[in-house]
Amino acid sequence: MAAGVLTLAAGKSRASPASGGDDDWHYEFGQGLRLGSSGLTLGGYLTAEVNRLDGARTQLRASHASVFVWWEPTEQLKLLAELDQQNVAVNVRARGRIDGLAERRTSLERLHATYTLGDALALRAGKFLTPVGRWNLQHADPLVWTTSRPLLTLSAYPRNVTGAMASGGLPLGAQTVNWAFYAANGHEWRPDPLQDQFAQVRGGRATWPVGAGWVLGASVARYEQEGSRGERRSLQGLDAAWSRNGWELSAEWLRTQVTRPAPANPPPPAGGPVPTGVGAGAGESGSLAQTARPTRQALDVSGPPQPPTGSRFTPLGRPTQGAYVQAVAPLAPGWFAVARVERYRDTALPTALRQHVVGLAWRPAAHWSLKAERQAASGRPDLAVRGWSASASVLF
Amino acid sequence: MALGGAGSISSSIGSSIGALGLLGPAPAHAADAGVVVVTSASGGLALTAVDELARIYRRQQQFLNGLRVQPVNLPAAHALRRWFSQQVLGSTPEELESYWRAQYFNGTTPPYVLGSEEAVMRFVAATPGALGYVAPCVLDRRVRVLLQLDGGPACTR
Repeated sequence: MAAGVLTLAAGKSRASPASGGDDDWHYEFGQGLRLGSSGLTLGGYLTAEVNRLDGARTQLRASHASVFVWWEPTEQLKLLAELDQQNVAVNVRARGRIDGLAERRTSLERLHATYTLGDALALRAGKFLTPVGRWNLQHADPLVWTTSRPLLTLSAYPRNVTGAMASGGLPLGAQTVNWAFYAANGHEWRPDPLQDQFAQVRGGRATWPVGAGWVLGASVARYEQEGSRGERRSLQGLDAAWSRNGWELSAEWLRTQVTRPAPANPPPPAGGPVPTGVGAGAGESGSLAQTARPTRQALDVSGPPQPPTGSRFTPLGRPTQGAYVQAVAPLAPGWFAVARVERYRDTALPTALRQHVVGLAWRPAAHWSLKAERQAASGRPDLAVRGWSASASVLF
Repeated sequence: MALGGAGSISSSIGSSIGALGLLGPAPAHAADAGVVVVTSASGGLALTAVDELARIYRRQQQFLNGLRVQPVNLPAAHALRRWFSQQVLGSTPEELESYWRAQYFNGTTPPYVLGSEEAVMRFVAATPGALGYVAPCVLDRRVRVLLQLDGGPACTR
């Protein structure tokens, strides 16, 4: 870690204990650039990936150049923003193949202000990551073990919220029980055109340590989405994680269900938001599989016709439901084996998808991550992704 | 909190250097073992339990006695840091790296790292809300002991 530390004498910032000087900027890989004691910290991550999916051409892309900055002008107030430049560079042959989804775009991932009243209560307003499950809140490539993302974290709910949140932590031994409640009434800031945003949401999440390295979590929400206004949905999720001596085990289960169908829905306006997609994305977004919520025509699904999601014909009885379990095992210093199994059934699909990922991760340093994996599918291999993916990412 | 075989927490929470008889250079017999958590001699911090210390060093607890608390660490390879990390946080510094990566993504950085126990003493003495850990043999009037942890590497001073 010491090799990654760079202290710059510059500017007129105030005291920084890491450097001991009043005018120092301090940079450390994986901990960002602290601009003296101005309260400003600048960081981010970069990812490049290669996907060789069965039946498709090899795709190379610099998939993420994400910059996040936070400013703490006082002890209570923190402003945080994250901009993600996606698909900075994509090889030309692949671009046509994936039908424009790998186009370069800038995504506003987060932009919020948090006022901390104490350890037990903080108030947040702005755009933030939807507090559902573990993966969505820690989705950055250098933090996760696979290049691909579990289906249920990709498509079952909007990944961002623009609204307000109250959160806090309550002491429980040497750990804390964390809680959050959030609400929003649409008006998403810079909405991702590939997601069907919240039109309204009320939700909550709690995590609590249960000892022996285990942390459990629960998420609930009631919401409507822009693509199906008037249709009320509920979400329930459970997750668990355990880690010790380089071993990790994590799991998430999620279920969403229509609780009130929309009154005769007009079709979404042309150019409006594209509903959230389904698929085992080889990457967080812009991937081959991260298409719009699959209409049967778009996905060329065979079998008996099904009513489209978001219409007045949406069946109340069939939820979208998924779960994954992921295990990580240390092989040698810096080397890890990763395996994940997942089952996911979207409302619009007649049968469940089963996705399996087996991979290898190398972390030569805390802030570097190199991964390679094989994805396989069963159940609906015509929809799920099969192939090879690899990526390199660095947290800076 | 169990501190393992050699470790236990003395009941010297909030005790001052004077109360420990450690005014000025520490006597040799007190310097041989133990780790002390210190804050500024004039500061208003008080710790109630080692669990609280663990939450502070994970940045899960950011306020103590109404003050924004600022914990400082020794380098990851320092024997005192390794002992403290394993006994108080239950993990080595390397095992905590994934935790800190996730925290960093959410705008929280790990405690500052200072290069030596003397640097910890200086910083803690001069910074309201700061706390750190050192071997008892380096104690002097600049700091006040918040907590004494038995065990730990022998003082090399």
